[in-house]
Amino acid sequence: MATTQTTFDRAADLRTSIDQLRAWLNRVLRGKAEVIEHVLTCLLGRGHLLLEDRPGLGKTTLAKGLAATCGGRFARVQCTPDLLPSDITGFNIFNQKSHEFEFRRGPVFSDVLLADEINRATPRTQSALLEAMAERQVTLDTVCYRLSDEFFVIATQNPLDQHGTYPLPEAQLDRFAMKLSIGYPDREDELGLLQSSIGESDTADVTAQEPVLSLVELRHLQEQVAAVPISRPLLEYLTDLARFTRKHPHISLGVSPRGLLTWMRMAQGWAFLDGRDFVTPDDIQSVAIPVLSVRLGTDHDDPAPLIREILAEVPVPC
Amino acid sequence: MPPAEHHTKPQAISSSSTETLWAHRSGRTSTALHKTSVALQSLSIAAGLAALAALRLADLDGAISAWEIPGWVAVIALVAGVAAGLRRLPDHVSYEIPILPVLVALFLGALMVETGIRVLFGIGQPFEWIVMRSLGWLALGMTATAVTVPRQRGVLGVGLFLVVFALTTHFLPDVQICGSLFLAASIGWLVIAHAELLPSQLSRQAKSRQPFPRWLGVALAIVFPLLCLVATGERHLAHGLSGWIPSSGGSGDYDPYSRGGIGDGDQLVAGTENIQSFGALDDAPFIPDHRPSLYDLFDDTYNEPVRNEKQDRAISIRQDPANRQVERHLAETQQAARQFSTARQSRTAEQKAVGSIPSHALLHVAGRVPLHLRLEVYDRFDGVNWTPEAEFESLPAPKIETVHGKPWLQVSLRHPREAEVAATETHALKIVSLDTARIPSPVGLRAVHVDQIDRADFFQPLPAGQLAFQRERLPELVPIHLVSELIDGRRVLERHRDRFSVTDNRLHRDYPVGELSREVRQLAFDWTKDAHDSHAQIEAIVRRLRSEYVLDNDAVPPADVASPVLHFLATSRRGPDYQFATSAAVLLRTLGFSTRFVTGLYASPERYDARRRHTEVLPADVHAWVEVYVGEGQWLTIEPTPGYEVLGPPPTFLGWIGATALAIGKAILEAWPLVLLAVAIGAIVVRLRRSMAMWFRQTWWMIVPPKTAAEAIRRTLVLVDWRARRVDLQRRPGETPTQWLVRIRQGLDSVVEGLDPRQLAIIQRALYAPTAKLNPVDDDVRAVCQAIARYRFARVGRTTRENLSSKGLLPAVLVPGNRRMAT
Repeated sequence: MATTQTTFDRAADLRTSIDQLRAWLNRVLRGKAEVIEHVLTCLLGRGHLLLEDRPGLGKTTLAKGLAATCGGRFARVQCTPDLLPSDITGFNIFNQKSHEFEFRRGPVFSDVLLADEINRATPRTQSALLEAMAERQVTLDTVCYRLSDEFFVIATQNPLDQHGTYPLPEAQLDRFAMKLSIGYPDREDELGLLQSSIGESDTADVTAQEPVLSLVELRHLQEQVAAVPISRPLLEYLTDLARFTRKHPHISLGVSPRGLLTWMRMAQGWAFLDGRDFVTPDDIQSVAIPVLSVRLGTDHDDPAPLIREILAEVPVPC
Repeated sequence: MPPAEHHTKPQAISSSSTETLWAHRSGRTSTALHKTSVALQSLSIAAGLAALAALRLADLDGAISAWEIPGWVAVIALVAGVAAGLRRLPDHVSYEIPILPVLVALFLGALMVETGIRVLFGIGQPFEWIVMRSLGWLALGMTATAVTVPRQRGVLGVGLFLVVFALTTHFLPDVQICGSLFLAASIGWLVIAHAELLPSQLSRQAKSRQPFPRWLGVALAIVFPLLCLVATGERHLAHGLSGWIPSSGGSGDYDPYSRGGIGDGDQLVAGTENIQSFGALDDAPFIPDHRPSLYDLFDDTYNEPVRNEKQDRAISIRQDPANRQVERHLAETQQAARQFSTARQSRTAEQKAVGSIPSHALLHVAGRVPLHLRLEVYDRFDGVNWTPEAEFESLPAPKIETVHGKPWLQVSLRHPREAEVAATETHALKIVSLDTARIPSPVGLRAVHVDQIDRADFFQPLPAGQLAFQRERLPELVPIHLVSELIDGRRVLERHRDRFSVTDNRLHRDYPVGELSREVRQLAFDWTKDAHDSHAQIEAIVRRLRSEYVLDNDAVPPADVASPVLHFLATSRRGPDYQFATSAAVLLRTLGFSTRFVTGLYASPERYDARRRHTEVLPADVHAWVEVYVGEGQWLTIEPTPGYEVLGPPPTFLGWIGATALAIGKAILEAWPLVLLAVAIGAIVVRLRRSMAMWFRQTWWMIVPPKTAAEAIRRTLVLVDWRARRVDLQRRPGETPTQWLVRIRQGLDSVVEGLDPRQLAIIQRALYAPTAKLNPVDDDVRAVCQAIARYRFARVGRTTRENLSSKGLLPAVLVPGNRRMAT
């Protein structure tokens, strides 16, 4: 009985933490509640996030704010065409004193990694992130280094039509759970932004916020999300959706099984954030666009209408 | 293209998997794409095989050979093999196997093989059997490949058709057993399918579908009662519209491969119940009767054959076809005397009973009517009596000629010129009870055919183109086929410069001199003074008689009248048909025509039986008429009696269509209350079909208690979905229940409240929580169900409906609403 009570209290505490986290992020990024929901879903579902938008819309701010509130180590890589893979993963250096090679850890050995403007890096460098993102480990000279269990990549990229960018390979894209666009804020939100920054010094940092969630708590939340049950008809629904994308004439690359797994996890996260202990088709549909737009190979620039069409075509079980 | 999808319609979808596409379009993915359970498939296979067995047994008609067993083992092995193979394939592979072309090929292949056999070997099957066998092959293919629910439904549908056909074709116990097995398997399938498919029911309900066009409903409501009327209607109507479908014999549209039936079919249906079911058919029943049969049959069945007490001439025939023993008693009927007196006694009140037979008919006629069947022809008229005095010309003996394998007696008379023949008529007579050896025949008889009789000496030619059997009386119930040529009087006149020729024999022109001749001649000249040719003269006289004189069979001149004809013409102006005929004959003779007086039988179109396609001739149809000589041995039937008609040339196709349309119109007018009622009922059913269906669903929802919360919610959603359909607000395939419930709020009647978020959450929990299958119906769920069931939709016009549809264009996929907004 006591244990149950404790569990309940703890769950309630965690919910409070999530609410605080949400509130903080909403303050950092004004008027973008929906984006923040997706970001949180991504975080709780242990998925990496790709933010794609024009410069100056708050991508980096959001990433930094998230890292700060999670209380984890934060690292940042500014991707440029001359960035080398070892600049990300780390490298072995010869120690003159010990006469041994020492491993100098790169930025991936952190809890939240912000890969800014990832599509400015060369494909070779981008690939260096592949193993880290998928398996949460780095292999260098046959030695395998474990990364943090909560390792979470937030990559930002500029739209592809900008100069000096390398499109991310599909294999890399599939490692991201979601692709989000932040978009310009509303007039009111923009006004509020201006007002609130009056008097604040430029050095004021979003990372100044105290962590509201410890890494242990985060891991605990992630475990809870992964355990949210999902009924069999909904699993069938997910499968039908995935199969439909593979047969669609306007989609050259459908959802992979890994993508499907990610989709399910995100739906679980969405349901969890909604305070439910089960998944509904609404959850699956709500995360569909960010989850699918990162991994569907289409000839359209904006896959969202196509995804809505898919959702409208495949019958929802009831 | 389902119109409800206009907002989400994909630009194009590849044809790589048509079935998948179709399934998605119709919103039936969950059931259309997934294989059913083994139990369901087994039941559908059992049903399919039972239907096939029923069809096969009916086809064999009891003649089951030992080869059937290995055949069936092979079929079952094949079906089981294909079904097991398809089950082992993964879903996406099995759906991409092109099954539809295979099924079509099976159906068409079977059809072509049967047709090919017919063409190549000349042996054929009835049309309906060819179709049913092809359907059987189709059903076999469907049974083997039915892995999904829609296909299994197809198997049951086709199977039901086959079973119904088999059961209605053959009343064999084994067919009935197979039918019962089919029914049992089908019911089992339905029960299990209902249990298995309930979760996906709403998805199926939500499929977008072609709305039933209203005009089609109205058209059906009008056409259907009409069709019923035509199918069950009287006389000409059924006659006019029959023949569109290959006949199985009964409708008169003869198909050599059709099964036997009544009418012109190959076989006779014995009229044990009703003598009218005797068509004019070419096999004779062999009647145990005291009177001699035409056929001398050695009956080597077990019982002693009934010996005729009297023997008449008979022809020996082969043992087949199977004889039918029909107990019948035939009545004697009187026949025309050799002299015909126009001075008659008045009719006695007592009517002579014809006998105890179910039919009063003397004979049945198949072929076009009205028809004047001549029995006696009279030449001389002495003022009171008609006497047949035509000399026995040395008639050439008739010859038997074989036409299409059948012996026809060619009556050797001079043939008319081709141009003057209006039509060559074929008739068949079936004598029921006529005590004469003379064959009642129309004027212009050319050929006679009686089945099996291939000897000319069975017939005896008589004067005036008549023919008699060389026996005491006509054979009963043996069809006598007659071919006659109908002369067109106008065409004859074209060649004869407005005058008909006269016969060499003065008898046909003679009329008694004296008062009679003066008066009659005066009348004739008065009536025909405007007529310039023979035809017009005849028409004038006939017209006068028919319009100014009254047919009264009981009118008899007083006993002291010297000339009954004159009395009829000048004084009484009413009388029986022989007075009309005599008057016409004498009037025409005074004008120089050659005429003769004919008695016989009149086949009246009023007695035409459209279903059996023949006309009864009763004793009351004894009639008298006139024939006029037109030249070159040809005589023309003249009908001066009102109410009687002469057979005209056959109608043209347009005339036939017009007559049919007229008949339909008349039938509608006659049965207008019925038609009106049928149309009204049809219209009401079409109009209220949804309301009625709705009522049944509502009642079901209210009466049958749900077992789980999920079922309660689902059933309620189905109920409201059905209602929402009327305003095009039904759930779309890709729409979640909550999205749908939110969207349809705008279409609700203003008095209905929408659901609040808590209620939506209850719905979601009931439907999707992992324990949903076990949750009992609690108060919350009940309250939510009642709240949903209160959803009523304002009936809106088309435009408003479109507006509503366009408003709810996007499914609320990306709208998380106002939840989780941080402060």
